[in-house]
Amino acid sequence: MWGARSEVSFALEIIALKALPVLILGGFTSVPGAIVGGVIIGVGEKVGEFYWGPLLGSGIETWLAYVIALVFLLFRPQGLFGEKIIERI
Amino acid sequence: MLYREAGHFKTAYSADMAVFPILQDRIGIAVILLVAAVIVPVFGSEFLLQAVMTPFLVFSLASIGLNLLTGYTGLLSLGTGAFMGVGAYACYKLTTYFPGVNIIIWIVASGFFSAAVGVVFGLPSLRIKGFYLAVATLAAQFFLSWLFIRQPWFYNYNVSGAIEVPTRTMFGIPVTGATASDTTRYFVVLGFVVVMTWLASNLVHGRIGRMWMAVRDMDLAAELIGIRLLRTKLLAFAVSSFYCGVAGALLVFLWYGSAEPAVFDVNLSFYILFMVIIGGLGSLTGSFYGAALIYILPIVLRYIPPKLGIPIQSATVEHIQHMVVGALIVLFLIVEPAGLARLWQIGKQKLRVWPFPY
Repeated sequence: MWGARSEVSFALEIIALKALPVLILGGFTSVPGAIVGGVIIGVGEKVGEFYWGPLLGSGIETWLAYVIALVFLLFRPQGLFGEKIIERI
Repeated sequence: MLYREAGHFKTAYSADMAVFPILQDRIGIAVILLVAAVIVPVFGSEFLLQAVMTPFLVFSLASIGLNLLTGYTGLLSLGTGAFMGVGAYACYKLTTYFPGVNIIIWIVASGFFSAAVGVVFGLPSLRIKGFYLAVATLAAQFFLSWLFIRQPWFYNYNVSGAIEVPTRTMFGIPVTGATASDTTRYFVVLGFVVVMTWLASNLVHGRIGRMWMAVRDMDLAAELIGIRLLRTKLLAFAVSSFYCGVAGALLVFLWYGSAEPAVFDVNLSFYILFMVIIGGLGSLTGSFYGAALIYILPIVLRYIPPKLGIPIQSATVEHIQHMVVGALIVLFLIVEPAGLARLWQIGKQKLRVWPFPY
């Protein structure tokens, strides 16, 4: 679908990498999490680009998704709807 | 028969703890060093030195760096390319600000810059583990490569947006820049790789290496036996980024000659990660095998058909090369998931007990 919007090329692999922050932001084991995560990341990076892009120099949407996911993970390591990580020794 | 411990009598603890306890290993490493330092530069062609050996050594160094982090400490990182970029850009900025200082010093110093950046991006590793950490390091990757593209300060406001390596001499011999000979560059890279491999080997065989491996096997258990996770993980990030930074500086200064930010994109990170996985996680020699398989094998494949006199178009050769290398990677991972280094170990073990099966 992204290919239909822009163009089909090897640069599409970036999309696969963009899916990673969505996945972990929503939580690994949750389908609704993927949808919510996708909305948060997608809207977040565009809004960020629109408001903060001019301040920092444009093109910040290339990394904003990962930083959003990173900050989010620091407070909730299992993602939004993921199962709680339990570790046994 | 030839290769076994029997007959090697150790009379000191230092001999028992040596990195190469078996005489044949020491002879082997001496032969390899002799070949690398004498035979390759004397008999090798310019092409071999400049397009095969120098990049191979640089990639080996970067693989060692990533191996210290991913293989020994168990922290998955996809930011290798960016950390190499930090090294290259730091070296470039330093040598343009202070042209009088020896370039070797700046290459080492750029490693420290890279280490500092690595520590900053390694901080989340305390809370985030495994696959999640890969995304955290991807943030570093994309942020840093954005920085190198969008902030003109990093490339001294060049119009082209690329960094050009200036000529720097050492003892009157040009080491970097267009006038430096391939042999000089090769020797500088070889020196760096030998010294840093030796340091890494000492590091992983000592207390720090044991701490890293304990964290890799289970970080909660490691914490319970008294290993400080914060220090250990950040140290792993720092040392790994130091190696990657030096490798990046060598990559640009002694191989490419000039570089644009696209060199240090996420593909480079994956490239190095493939080398580490194919070579063997948690093995320093494996880093060399991985770099050889991923970097040198395609070059060999490219030059075999013309040598055999088979008329194929170069585009076809390119495609065949991709197919063969891809198939070999899959094959190696099926046959030996632990990497080429494990194959080598199995071979050594077989040799040691020969002619008995076990």
